[in-house]
Amino acid sequence: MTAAPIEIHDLTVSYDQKPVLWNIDIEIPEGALVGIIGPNGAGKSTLLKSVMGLLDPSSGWVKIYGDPIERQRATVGYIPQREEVDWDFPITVRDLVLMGRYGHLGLLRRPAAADREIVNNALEEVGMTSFADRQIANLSGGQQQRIFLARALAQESRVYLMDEPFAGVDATTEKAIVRLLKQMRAEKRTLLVVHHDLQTASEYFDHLLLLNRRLVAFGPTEEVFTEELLRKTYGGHLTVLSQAGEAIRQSRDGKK
Amino acid sequence: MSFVDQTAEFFANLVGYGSSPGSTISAVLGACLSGLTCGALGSFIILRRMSLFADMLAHAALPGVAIGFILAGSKSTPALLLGSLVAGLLAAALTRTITSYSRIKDDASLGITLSLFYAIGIWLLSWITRRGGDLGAKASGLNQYLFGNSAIITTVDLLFLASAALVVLAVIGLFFKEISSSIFDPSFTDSIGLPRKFFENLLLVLLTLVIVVSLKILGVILVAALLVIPPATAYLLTDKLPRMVLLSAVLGGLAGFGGVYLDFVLLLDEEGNGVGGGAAIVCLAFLGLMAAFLASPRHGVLGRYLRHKRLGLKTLRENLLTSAWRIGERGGELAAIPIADLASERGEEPSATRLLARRMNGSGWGHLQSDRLVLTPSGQERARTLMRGHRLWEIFLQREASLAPDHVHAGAEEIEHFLDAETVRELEELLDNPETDPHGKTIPPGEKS
Repeated sequence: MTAAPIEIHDLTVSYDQKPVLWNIDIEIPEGALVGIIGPNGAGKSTLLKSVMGLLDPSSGWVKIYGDPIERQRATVGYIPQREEVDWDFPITVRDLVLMGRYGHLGLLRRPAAADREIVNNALEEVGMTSFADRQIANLSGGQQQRIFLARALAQESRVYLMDEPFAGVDATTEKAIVRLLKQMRAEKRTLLVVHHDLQTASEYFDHLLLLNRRLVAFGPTEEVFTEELLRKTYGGHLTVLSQAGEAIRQSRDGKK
Repeated sequence: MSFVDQTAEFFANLVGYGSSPGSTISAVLGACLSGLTCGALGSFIILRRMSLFADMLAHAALPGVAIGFILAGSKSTPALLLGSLVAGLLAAALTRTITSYSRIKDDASLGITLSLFYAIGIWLLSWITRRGGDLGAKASGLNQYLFGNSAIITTVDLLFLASAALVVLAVIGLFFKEISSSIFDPSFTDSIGLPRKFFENLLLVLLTLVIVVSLKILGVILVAALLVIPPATAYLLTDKLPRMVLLSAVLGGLAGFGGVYLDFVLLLDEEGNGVGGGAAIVCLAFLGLMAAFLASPRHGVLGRYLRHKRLGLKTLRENLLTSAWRIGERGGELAAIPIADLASERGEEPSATRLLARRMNGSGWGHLQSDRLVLTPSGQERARTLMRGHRLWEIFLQREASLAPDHVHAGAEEIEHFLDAETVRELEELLDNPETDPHGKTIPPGEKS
C-alpha cells in the first residue's frame, strides 16, 4: 500500500504551554478535496501550519507520503492567509507568482524561461494576466487571493494547504476558486482548505474535517455534515447552529 | 576664501591638483561608499520595519568604540570596529531577551537598550578623558565617533568601507530572491524550505557591519538616517524592489558626496578641522526625500493634487456636456447652445455658466463663442456617451438595488464620469439594452459597429 498524502498521528500543538490542538489523528486520502471547518480559535490555521512544519508539535507527528515534511517540501504547496503579508511591498503581481518557483529553484539559482512560462500559465488560470506587471497594492481582496492561488499553482505541487482562500473575496473570485479547486481535484491533487462558511461547505468539498481543538469528525461530506456532529463542533454557538441547520436542510433539498 | 574659490579648490583636490588632495579624496570616497552601502541595505531594513532597530544598533556601538580603545590602548581602526561590532550584537541580543522573556513590547525594549548602551558609551568616554595620562592624551578625537567626521578618514578606514560595501552588495546580489521573499512572506518562505532564519540573521549581521564601518563618517547618532532616508525616498519613487535598492544606493552615494562638498566649502577651517560630519549628509538626504514626497509621479503629494484638480475640471466639463445634451433632446441645436438656455437648464446665473463654459477651452470638446457653447463632434459624442452611461446606471440602480426612480439620479450623476466602455457593455448586457430610463427619457443608442 502506498503511503497517504497526509498522515497526522496523535498530534498535539501548544502555544505557550497551552494546547491548541489535542491528539489529532487523521489520514487524508489521495485526491480528496477536504474542507476544514470549526469555530474561531478551533485551531484550523494551526493544523495547516503544523502539517507544513511551521510550528513544532509538543507531541505526535505528520508524514507526507510517508516522509517528514522536510523531505517533501516540493510536494506540498501552502497558501497563507492574505492578511499575513504587506501589500504595499514593492513587487509586481508577476514577481509574487514567481515566488512559487523559488522552492524548486533552491538557493542561488535564478528563474529560467521555463519558470516564467509556468508563471504566465498560472496567471492565465486565475484570470490575472492583464495585471501581471502591476504593483500588488491597489488590488481588490479577490484579486489578491487569486494571485496567491496563482503562486500556489506555479508550485506544481501534489498536495495543497489553503488557509481561508474564500475570506473577503467577491462572487466572481469565489466562483473562479471553486472551479480551480474542482479542476485540481480532477488532476488527483489532494487539497486541504480552511473554510468559514457553513452554507457552502457541503457544496464545495467532498470531505469535511470538523475541528474544535480536537478532531470531531473526518469523512465524506454526506456522512459527517450532520446536525449532531456540527452541534458537537460548534458547541453553544447558537447563531452558527441555526445557520448550520438551514445549510443542512438546503443540502438535503438539493439532493432530492 | 569665497564660496566659488572653495568650490574650485574642492574639485581641484578631487583631481589631485589642490592643496589637500589626499584628505579630500578620502573624505569623498568614504562618504560615497558609506552612503551607497547604507542605501542599498537600508531598502531591506525599512521594508522589514527595522529602522528603529538600526538606530538602536548605531547608538549601541559607542561603548564598543570606548572599550575597543581601552583594550587596544590606541585608536586602531580594527580594534574600534571589533569593539562596536561586539557591542552591537550584544545590544541586539539584549533587546530580543527583553521582549522574549517579559511583556515589554518591541519599541520600549529598543528604547531601553538604545539609551542604556549609549549612556555606558558616554560614561566611558568621559572616564577616559578624565583619567588623563597616556591613554587620555591618545583619546583626543575619540568623540568624533559621536557626530562623525569625514575629514579624518584614513586609508585603513577606506579599506574597511570598501570591503563592507563589497560584502553587502555581493550578498544582496546573490540572495536577492531569498531575502526579499523572507521579508515579504515569512510563512510562505518557511513553507518552501528556504532557510529564512538564516537570512534574517544575515541581514542583522550585515546591518551591524555597515553601521560599524560608517560610524567614523556619520557618527553613532546620525548613521541610521542614511539607512532610512534614501530607501524611504526610493520607496516613494518606484514600485519595484530591485530598482528601489539601486536608486536608494545612488541617492545615498549622492548625499555622501554632497555632504562632504558642503562641509568643505562652508565649514573647513585653516587646519582642516571643524567639519560637520554626518549632519550635512543627512540634511541633503532629507531634501531628496522632500522632493520625492512632493513630486513623485505616483506617490507624491503634488501628483495626487494635480490628478485631483484634473479630475475636478473633467467633471465640470462633462457636467456642461450633459446639460447641453438635455437641451439638445428638447430640440435645441446641440452644436451651439445659447448660454442663457444652459444657465436655466442648470439653474444658475448666466454669468456663472459663462465662466464655466470658458473652462471648456482646451478640452477639444468645445468652446465659448458669441455667448453660445459651441460643441465639436467629439464633444457631442462624449455628451452622448455620458448620457447613455448615466441612464443605464439609473436603470441598474432601480432594478438591482431596488431604489425608487426619484432616488437614482444623484448616484448616476457621480458615476457617469467613471463608467468605462467595458462597464457600459456589461450594463447593456445585464439590462438587456433598454431604450428608456426610469424617468421615461430616451437612452442615447450605443455606437454602431
